[in-house]
Amino acid sequence: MTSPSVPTSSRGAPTYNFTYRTALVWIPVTTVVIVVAWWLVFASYFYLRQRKHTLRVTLFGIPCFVTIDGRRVLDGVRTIDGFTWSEIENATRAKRETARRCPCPAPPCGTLDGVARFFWSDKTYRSVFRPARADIVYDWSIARMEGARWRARWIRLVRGPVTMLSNMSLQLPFSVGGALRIVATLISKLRA
Amino acid sequence: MTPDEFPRLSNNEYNVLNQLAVREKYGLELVAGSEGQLSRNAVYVLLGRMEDKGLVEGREAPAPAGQSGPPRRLYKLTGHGARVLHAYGVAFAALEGA
Repeated sequence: MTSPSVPTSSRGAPTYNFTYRTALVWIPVTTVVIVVAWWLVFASYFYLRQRKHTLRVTLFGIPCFVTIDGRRVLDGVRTIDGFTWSEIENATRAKRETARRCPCPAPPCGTLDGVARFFWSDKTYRSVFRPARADIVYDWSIARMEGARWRARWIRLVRGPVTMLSNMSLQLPFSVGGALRIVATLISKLRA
Repeated sequence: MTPDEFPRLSNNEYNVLNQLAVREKYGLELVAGSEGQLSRNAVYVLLGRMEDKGLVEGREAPAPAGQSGPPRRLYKLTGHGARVLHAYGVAFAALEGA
């Protein structure tokens, strides 16, 4: 009985069984690991060097290279919006500071409103989702004005999201149906 | 007009048309005036469908002074909506009298 043999070359040394599958997996994995490692090294360097960014901006923002005298190379460069990086950073910092100081929270359901605006047409958004959110914000601001904190929280955390999600789920069949009707009309006209 | 072309109204749509025949209303006012028939989670989808059918017409109301946020929407009956409501009223009256 023979044991499974290790592949060897003609000279007896073991050979590495390099297959296409191995290359397909390991080359991208190795590349990603190397790129991420280098990125972390550079990002840590700039973070420690500048001490101006938050860690989040350092890791996921566009890097600003620092010269010896502390100026950033990209400082003179304006973005497509016409601002320098310093102006953008200062604006972001000021916004964060204002949000920290201001006790007034943002109106409820902003995220779901954005989701609806993204997925539905402007007409549907204006006729269904925006008035629904306007009512939620109205109820919420009334509750806040009356000092009913728990009612305001209830509206923000439960009733508002439930209303928006219900509207989305009820609107979805009509929207999908409308889209399918348009596609069917197009196909029938192309065939004719 | 053939019977197929006669506009069909659900109970909720009839309720909305009846309320809007009196005056312009917001969505929440319609819910409050429906005696539990309309749900606040579904009223705007219903109103959107009715706008598509041409039964009601919505406009964004200007926000009161000192109040911010997205504009609320006021709904009113269109001419077509008023005629449909009248036709249904006549039909109901005829059936009740028969």
